[in-house]
Amino acid sequence: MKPDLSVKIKDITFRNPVTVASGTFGSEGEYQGWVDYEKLGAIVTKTVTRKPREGNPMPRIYETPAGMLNAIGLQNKGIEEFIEKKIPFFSKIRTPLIVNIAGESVEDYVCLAEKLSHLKEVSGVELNISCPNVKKGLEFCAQPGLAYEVVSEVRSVTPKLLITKVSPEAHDFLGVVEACVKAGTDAFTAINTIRGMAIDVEARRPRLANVFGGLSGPAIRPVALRYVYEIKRRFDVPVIAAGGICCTNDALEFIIAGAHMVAVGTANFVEPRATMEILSGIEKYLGERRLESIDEVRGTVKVDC
Amino acid sequence: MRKIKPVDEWVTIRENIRLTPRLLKVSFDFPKLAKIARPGQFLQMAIEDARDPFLRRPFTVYRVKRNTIEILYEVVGKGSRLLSEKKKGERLKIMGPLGNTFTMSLKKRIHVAVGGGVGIAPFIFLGQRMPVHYFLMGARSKEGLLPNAEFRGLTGKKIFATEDGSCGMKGFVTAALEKVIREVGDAGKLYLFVCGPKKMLEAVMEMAERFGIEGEASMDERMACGIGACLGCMVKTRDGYKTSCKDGTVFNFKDLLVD
Repeated sequence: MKPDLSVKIKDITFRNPVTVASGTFGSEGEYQGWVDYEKLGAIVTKTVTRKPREGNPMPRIYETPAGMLNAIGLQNKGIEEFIEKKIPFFSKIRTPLIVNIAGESVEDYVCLAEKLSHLKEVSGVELNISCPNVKKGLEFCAQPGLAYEVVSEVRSVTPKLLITKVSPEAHDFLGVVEACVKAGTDAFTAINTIRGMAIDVEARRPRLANVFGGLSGPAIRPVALRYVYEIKRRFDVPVIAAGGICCTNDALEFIIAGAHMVAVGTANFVEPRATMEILSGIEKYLGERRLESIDEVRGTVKVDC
Repeated sequence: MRKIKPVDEWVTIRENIRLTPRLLKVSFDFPKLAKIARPGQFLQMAIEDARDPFLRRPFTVYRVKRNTIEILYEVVGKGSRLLSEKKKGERLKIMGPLGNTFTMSLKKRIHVAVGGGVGIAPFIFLGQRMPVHYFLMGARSKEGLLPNAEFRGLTGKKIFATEDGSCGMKGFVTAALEKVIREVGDAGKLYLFVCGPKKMLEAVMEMAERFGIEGEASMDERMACGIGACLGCMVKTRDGYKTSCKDGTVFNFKDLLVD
């Protein structure tokens, strides 16, 4: 018998725990031909904002040891065009769709969440309060009070699954997490990228036009794992883990630490089939150990202290 | 636009040789890719199984011989250095073909390929598939120029230019282009295919505008995904930012905005 990989968060049953990290999977089927969208646990879109954003100037990316820096700057066509042109693609796919949103004010987040709350194609909203690459991108994640305000306001306008994506750059990380829980978030995505920098020593200029960029990839995986574990140790709230997940072993580490789902991010850029390989790897892990369900693995890390 | 489904497989190196002190060539058998690749398209290469370097490296298709694909490259960083150390029989993971292609249906035009250094690479494949009347190649010195033997089977006229004058005309590749314009007389008959460093592209495009010459350029930006997802390799066009990997790498001069 095949093991049961399904995961329930709020009132949504995801067919398995494998999803993608926002911004690494495009927003209109870029991975078709590589990934069977029907086999993913969930699809998370690239960030959508209220107005179109051109994004940051070039260069926007730079490879670093075991990862990369990016400062894309939330390039997107805005919510109106997203709903008109991108949503129809997802209406044909039965996999739950989570739309990642970002704003510069509480009002922006509320407006975006409200617009999405009317769409049957959208299962959940992920609040990006942790983008390091735009002005005010980290503001709402910086203090528990601001995090509380944005999450509670969004909560009041949408009954949909509400996920808050948090950054380790918050000075009081667990304080921010606690505030979001109190404000009514249903789950967390942890973690967003961590700000980094690289310099071209010939030109003596930053490698990125934005100077700073978000570091992603295996380089941040141990940090991500620690934060996921810390959230789970303190709070009974589902976590979608993100941070350098490249293979089955990586994914299992996060699930054993307590994550409900695992979001493959930068690895999609290297191995477009990474999600599918991880999915079959998790299935194999369970099968070989005669485990009936992923629930028997989640949060089972044995810690002596 | 592209209906062909790209492939991603491990391949075995047939040959990995140095053509000049600067230019190297690696070849491998990949029948599926050889069958569907078109001039201007590129592939994403994972050089090490251990994902170090982490990202794949994009390379344009240099030549297709039956089932064999050839890639022209130079050592510029860690990835290309590791590639240069690979021996016959070792493996590479290759995904492709990716990106769009050069315009192949031009009629009654004189096709001029302009390559700066390793930027000549896509034009050998282009010359295999359609008549290229002129190959103009520029480099700092003769070490950066493709040896004559590499043009075997191609009928176009070759004009080389080196900055130090060690081979061909002394100066930039634009000097070679000027020579072609004089030779042909009617610049409007020319159609340019350009690939190379940004400064060279700008100089060639500026000249094309001055003489009213149409053409297209292959834009080479740092890439991560290669399939239009990460938005890292953007090119400025009249219609806003476009991905070099998916919307390009080939763009018509008319659409490009040069800084």
